[in-house]
Amino acid sequence: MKRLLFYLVILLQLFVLLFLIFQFEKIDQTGHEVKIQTLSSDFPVYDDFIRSDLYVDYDINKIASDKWNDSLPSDYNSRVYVLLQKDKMNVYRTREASADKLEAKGEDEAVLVGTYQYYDVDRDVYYVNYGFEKIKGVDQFGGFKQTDQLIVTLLIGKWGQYKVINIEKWNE
Amino acid sequence: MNKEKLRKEGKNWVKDGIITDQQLEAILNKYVKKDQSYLLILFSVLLIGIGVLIFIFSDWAQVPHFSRLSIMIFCMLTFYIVGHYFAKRSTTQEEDSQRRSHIYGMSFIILGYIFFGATLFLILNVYQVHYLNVWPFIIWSIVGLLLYSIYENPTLFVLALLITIFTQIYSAFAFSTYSSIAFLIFSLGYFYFVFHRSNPVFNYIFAIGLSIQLVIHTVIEAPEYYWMIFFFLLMYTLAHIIPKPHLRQSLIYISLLSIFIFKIYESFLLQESYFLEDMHIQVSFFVIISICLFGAFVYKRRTNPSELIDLLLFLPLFYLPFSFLFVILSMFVFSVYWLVVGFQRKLEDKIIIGIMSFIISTFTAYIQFAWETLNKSLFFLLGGILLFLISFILERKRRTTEIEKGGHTK
Repeated sequence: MKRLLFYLVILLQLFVLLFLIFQFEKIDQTGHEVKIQTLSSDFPVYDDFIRSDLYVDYDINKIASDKWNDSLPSDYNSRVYVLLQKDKMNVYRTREASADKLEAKGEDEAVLVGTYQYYDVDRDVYYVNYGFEKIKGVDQFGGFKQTDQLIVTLLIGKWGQYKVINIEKWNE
Repeated sequence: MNKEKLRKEGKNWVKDGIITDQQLEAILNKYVKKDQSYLLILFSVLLIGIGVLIFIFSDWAQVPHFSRLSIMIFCMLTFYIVGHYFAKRSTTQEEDSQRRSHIYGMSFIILGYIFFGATLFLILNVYQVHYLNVWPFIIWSIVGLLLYSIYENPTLFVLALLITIFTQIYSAFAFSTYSSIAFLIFSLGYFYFVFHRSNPVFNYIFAIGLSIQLVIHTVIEAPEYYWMIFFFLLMYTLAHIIPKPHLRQSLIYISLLSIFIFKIYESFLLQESYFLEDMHIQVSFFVIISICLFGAFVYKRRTNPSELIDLLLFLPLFYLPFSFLFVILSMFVFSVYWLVVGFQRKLEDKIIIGIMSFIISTFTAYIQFAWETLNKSLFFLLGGILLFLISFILERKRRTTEIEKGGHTK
């Protein structure tokens, strides 16, 4: 009996792990493709091509106070929902943000879930993090410098998964 | 009892003619020297576990992700199956090697459990999942509970319990949220085993964990800081209805310790003018705390009136003028009461509560009044001497009572 239960628990763990892998592997088919623009770094640390990891600021990280609907975030790291809409250049821009749940209507909209960081009084801007500010292995997409403005193409999957599939220079 | 100590004592008994030499030998033979080798195995398991976790989160050099995951899953399954094999063998052997097999088996199962968590986080890392609540930790915690219900190994339980407590702490720091699911697993699942196993280590870790959960709940969910008093009072009161004496004791001690630490913190906060201006006084709080205090008062008066002083600590004082003085005063009244009553009635555990709380109160008061006025080196010097004197005097007093008490029983 004990033996049977034990194998059952092991199988359950194996199932959980394989289920997650299976779900996350599907992102190439089921993920929603989103192109977003980065802001060029104000203070480049060094002026050379980036070899490995790159930390970027996207324009969707800064959300002006007039984009927020009635519910503003309060706590550091609390969850916020950001509704993006495609513009003419096929780049997604912030349309609406809220601490309450938002729904995407139609193909040219997408909802991202981020965490609220802080409010900048001078610029009247709320900073929101999404988790993909750090891009691993940038050099596989080409040579970029910290001062470049980039367009990053992401696949947004279930449960907060994302995958960077392309990086290109803005106005190329 | 320690075998060496027993041998020493035993020789005196032989001299006094209480027992014969043969009887002493027979008694000593009953005490087999405890085999400490399991500690070595335990540490090796811990070190391997920590090593794996750190290794997982470093980026493995250029190893493609699929093979990384397969290696981890393969290791996990191997550990579980080998562990299970050893544990099964332990039932078919003679005593000594049985225990050894059992220890090996459990170590491998614990390693398997650590590998499960590591693989879970590796998956999230490989597939770049930005999780916004603590669901991976919750899965890990539930698996720990399931494993423990099959193989009741204390180390496994402590590990899983610590993971559950950490889940709540992580939820607070990383997402500023209070995870009710983590609390439910903790207070239902883990409490079930803590309640039935009566293990002192489980009891204290559980009590400390509960206190931490209450603090996080107040900080994140409660409108004002002083609701903390209510939650600690609730913990203190509910502890009394638990029928297991050891678990009850640990919950009461930890709730008293928690409210004491809270009072130290409060005595500093209540001197800040910005803090007092921001504070709103809620009527609902007073209604609820009065009901709870009254209930606890009635219950205590019927069962154990000498412990009524405990409730003084839970009395809200923040609305009074110069409230921090009252807070410190209440701490002193509590500790002096237990010092006096403890020494009078020769209650060893109450004397320790009295000594500890007196030292903490003195130091709190000392910091309040001397930090800004004294030169810093003088501050620490005097503080050290003060604490030394207090502990010296109180410890001497305690020893004399102990000797007196020993004299009485002889």
